[in-house]
Amino acid sequence: MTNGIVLSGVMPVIRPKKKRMTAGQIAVLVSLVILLVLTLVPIYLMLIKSVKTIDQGIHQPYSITFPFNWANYKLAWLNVSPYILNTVVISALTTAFAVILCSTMAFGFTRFKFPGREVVFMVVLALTMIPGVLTLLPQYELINQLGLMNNPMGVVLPLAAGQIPLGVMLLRTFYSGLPGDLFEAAELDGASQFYRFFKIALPLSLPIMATLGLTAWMAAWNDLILSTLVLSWDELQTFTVALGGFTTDYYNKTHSWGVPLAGYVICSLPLIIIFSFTSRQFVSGLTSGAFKM
Amino acid sequence: MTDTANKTVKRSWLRSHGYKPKGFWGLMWILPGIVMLLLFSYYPPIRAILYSFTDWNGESAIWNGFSNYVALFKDTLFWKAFLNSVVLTLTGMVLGNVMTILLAELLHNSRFKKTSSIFRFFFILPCLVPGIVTMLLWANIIFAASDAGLMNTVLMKLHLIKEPLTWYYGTDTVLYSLILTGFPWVGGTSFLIYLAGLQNIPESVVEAARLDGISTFKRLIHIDFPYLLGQLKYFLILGVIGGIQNYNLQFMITKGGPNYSSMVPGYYIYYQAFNYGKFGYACSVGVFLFVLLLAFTIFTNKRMRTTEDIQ
Repeated sequence: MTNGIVLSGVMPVIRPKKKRMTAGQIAVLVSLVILLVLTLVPIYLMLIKSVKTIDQGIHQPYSITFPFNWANYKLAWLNVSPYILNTVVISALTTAFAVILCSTMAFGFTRFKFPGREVVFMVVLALTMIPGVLTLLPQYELINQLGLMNNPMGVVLPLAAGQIPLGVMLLRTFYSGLPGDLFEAAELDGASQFYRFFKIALPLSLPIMATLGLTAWMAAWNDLILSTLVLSWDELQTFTVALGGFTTDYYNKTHSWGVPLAGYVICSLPLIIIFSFTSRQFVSGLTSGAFKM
Repeated sequence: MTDTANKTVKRSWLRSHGYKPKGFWGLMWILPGIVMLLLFSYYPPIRAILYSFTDWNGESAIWNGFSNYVALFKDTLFWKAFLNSVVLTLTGMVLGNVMTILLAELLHNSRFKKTSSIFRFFFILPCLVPGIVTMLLWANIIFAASDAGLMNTVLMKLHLIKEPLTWYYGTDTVLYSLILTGFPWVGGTSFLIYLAGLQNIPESVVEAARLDGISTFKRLIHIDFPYLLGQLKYFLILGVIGGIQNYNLQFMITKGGPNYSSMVPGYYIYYQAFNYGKFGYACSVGVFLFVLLLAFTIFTNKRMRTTEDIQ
């Protein structure tokens, strides 16, 4: 600001930039709107087609039609809700396991000294170099041998383990940033390590835990391949596995997209609702990988 | 009484073996995580490497040396899949990054600060919709092969085509369709990382450039782009690692077809294992990809460091 004043005193030429800006600004705004419209095409289609009757779907497939046929949502809910519930259970368990394992591990790595600590930490971080395509088949075999086929835990445990390397790194960085005096003072006062963990480390790290939890939740929510392999019983399937089959079946019977797309909207809503309440944690969770570079 | 006695015995035993009590508890804190990792993260890849030297069929495995790898190098289908994957990864990375940087520049240069948070929300929105939903929308509505599909309707209205295009279901069109899926490739959170990069450019540099009367294009090339190199490298490494492994669209829609024209190595692993029971062979594909990606990461990290040193 001060810069601007001093400079404009020296070079009055800068003044008229306001007018030139508006033409450029309109171009910027128009480009942004075009990009946004193109980006939202799938979501627009999903929304407008989810409230069409079979008739509206055939005659005006790509425009908004009235009246909205909300009955699609009722029917879709009946078909999709058991699968969504399965996904919610798996996502919640994955999140709980990931948060507990990452926080205890990061606490051990930060607040204690033991031989080989840095080596173990590096070996844990090295896991980020192992591609998922390499582990898939033996993981499938392992789940089978552990008797976890057609058991939600067969999806939850590998997914939670997958969250550990980056989660521990994120939390360790955070715990290291907490003042050590805080823990030492508590220790002198005779506070046990569990007290220090539950009453000092955890409450202070709630925002970063929320970030970690959301990342884990997203990973489980979107998981497709592991769920397909492990959960073959219909009553255990997640919506990611069931949605494709439901869409094809329903379309073949009725030649209408209304009900399946209403189902898509229902499956999309939970994350959008979580996002609108916790957008800050959400964005830092989704971009957290970038901070390590 | 006995309890405390036991405790002292235990502690002194640990101490005599070089463990301070604090160290012991440190190990205890990391133990649950380590057990999980050993089971689900360390054991499987080691197992996969061992299995790649066997004829594992899902139940029994007999050592057969390097024959999987010999077969792999002669497998024209695998090399076709690999080439497909390279094409998809490179085009996806170039298009995605160019469009995302464009979006970040537009947002950065927009003076309407009040609308920018609304723009951000709507550009993030697509990544909140489950990936499976987006894929089904592209396959069933936008790139539907019938004449009722959105793109076919639009192109036929514009008289650009006479017959509906086959999109995911034609040998000639499937790769283009996979590349075009997700157009304009900006939805998500990547643009936020580029935007943060642009906002980190020192005010003095921007001001100096403006005083010199530098054109927008020159500013992009000589100022903005160098400041975004860190982010660009990050997305290039991530893009290659993720792209070479990615097979979601194949898994959901194309099944590697038609006639293997959209096959990629990731799906080839799944396909060989669960269609033909060639689990051992599939593992050798996984090991090949692992070695390749590892070499790539080490190479780029070295390169990155040297370029930073020069600067």
